[in-house]
Amino acid sequence: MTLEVGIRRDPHTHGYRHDAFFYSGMDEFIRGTAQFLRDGLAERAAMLVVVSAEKIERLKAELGDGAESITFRDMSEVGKNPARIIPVWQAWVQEQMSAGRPLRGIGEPATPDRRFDELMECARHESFLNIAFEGSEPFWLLCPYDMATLERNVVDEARRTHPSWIADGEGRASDDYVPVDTVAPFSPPLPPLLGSVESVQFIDDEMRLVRELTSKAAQTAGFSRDKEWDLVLAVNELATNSIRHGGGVGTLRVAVEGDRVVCEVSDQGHIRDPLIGRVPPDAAGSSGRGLWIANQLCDLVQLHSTPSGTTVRLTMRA
Amino acid sequence: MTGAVDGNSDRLYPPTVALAQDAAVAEGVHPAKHVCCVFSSDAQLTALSAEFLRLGLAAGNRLLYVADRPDEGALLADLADLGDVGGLAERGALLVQPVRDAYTKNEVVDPAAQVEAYRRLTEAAVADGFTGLCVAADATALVTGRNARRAFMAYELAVDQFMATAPMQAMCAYDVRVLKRAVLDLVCVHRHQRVPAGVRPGFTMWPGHDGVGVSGEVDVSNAERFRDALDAAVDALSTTAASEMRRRLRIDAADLAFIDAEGTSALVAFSEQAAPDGRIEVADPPRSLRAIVETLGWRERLAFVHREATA
Repeated sequence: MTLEVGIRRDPHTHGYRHDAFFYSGMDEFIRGTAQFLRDGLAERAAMLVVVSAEKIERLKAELGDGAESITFRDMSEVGKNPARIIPVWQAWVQEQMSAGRPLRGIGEPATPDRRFDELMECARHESFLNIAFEGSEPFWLLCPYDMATLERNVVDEARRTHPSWIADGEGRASDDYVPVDTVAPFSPPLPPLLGSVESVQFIDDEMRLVRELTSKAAQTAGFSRDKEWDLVLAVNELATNSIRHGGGVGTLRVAVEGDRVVCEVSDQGHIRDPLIGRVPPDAAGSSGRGLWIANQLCDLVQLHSTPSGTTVRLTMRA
Repeated sequence: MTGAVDGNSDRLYPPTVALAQDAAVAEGVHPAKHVCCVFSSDAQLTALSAEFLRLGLAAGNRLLYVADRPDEGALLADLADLGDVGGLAERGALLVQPVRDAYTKNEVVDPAAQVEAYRRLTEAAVADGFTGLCVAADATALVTGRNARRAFMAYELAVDQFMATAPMQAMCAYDVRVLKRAVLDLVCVHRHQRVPAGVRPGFTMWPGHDGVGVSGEVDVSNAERFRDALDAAVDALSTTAASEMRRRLRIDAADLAFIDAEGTSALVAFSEQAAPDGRIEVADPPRSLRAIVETLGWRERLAFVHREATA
């Protein structure tokens, strides 16, 4: 099988290429991705593979010695929160750039073990990848989707978030591809908050109320002390954003669902930068710092923002 | 401020030393070396001052009362509760000074010069046969401007460091009617606080032998004050510290319950200004500080240590 068929863009001259790879079952996954990596070895590409631990083992066995020059990382460690994946790719591309080798990557964020809201964020992540690497070095990123186990709508979504896709050894440009709405990247509303919700409105000298409500919820859900404080910090930083950039007042809503805590901070701010919280904040400025910290500490961060206000929803599990 | 802010304060703030009459007064040691009082009436100021000075008197200290009064007569009248103030003044046991004469003539206090002045007064008291010097001072008039307040924070930290080993004790009184919220800038640099409920700076900073200690919580409500206090600490350190202290600069954070990213970036700025190698040690940091430093990649700037392990 060759993956070049039907692809009109050449990654060596056009920089970034982002393909969905539709497969069914482990065998087809291994065949397709191993071929992609062997082609990469032939062109002396630098390669990073971010998939499940099980797939890493299977690929290493399949590739033998060839696997030694490839970097593998466990998706469940790197990308539990899908918003943490772009910074990993960016750091790696940055690192490899000077060597002048072509770059190949495999990233499989969308797996059937994910909850619905996580899969929505995986789709958003896939879509934002198109902005993050626009005009970058020659970098070919392949994103496998298992058609045998994923819901139909997840696969459909992948056709919208990838400019091109590959199936049955054949690649083609996606007719369904929708570029990121850079004017209103966070306009889709969030699903309703479930369970019994407690809330508090806050101004700048009431951060302790914000921390206390979060802390109480974390204890109810059985969090460890460290996890409790990580969530408290993340919520505190988002509430600080409400004070600094969101009109000076905000609302925190907290819901406990079993061992899961969902915290939602709303204010009058408007976020337009799709990559906010996905690029490391610079040392001097505070821009994006709160969302970066939340992304690093929480299992899931969802964002809804329009000119009339912003809601950031954090999810963390004990 | 909200009522809930005080709800948890026992855990978050170091205990305030009681100034009760029955507190131990022995060997010239005053029960509160350096305490901040916030008052909202003249009667409150004179009552607090008399109470504080009475303990100094019992300990054999020479007393010094400084307040914003036109002359010595008015100052002595304030302290009528102490008894025969005329007699005390006559035998040199009680000095009084209008605030404008006691401190700098300039708009902004010079921390080093002011500590030196108190050093001389303390030495004179001991030379005259007293066990030490006990000061009650209302310095409100000197801290109404922001720059003046900044300089005074540095002075408060520097004089606290001096008092730690010298036979001097002081009550610093500030008028909340004049200073309003800004009174918190002064309260936060006193480990011992006698303040009305609701007057909470959130954090408290004090000088240590190799840096500063911090307790309480730092967040968006007081991060700017925290930055000011750290700037003041830089000045105070340069006043009191020989280069030896600067070799290893330390933040004692064992009683710091929470600090946010703004507060942490102030600590990073402090490390740049105050530490010779741009790196400071933070002893026993709270989880939030560890998490911020981890996620923002500031490990090069703040080194975490255990207080016991390296003390």
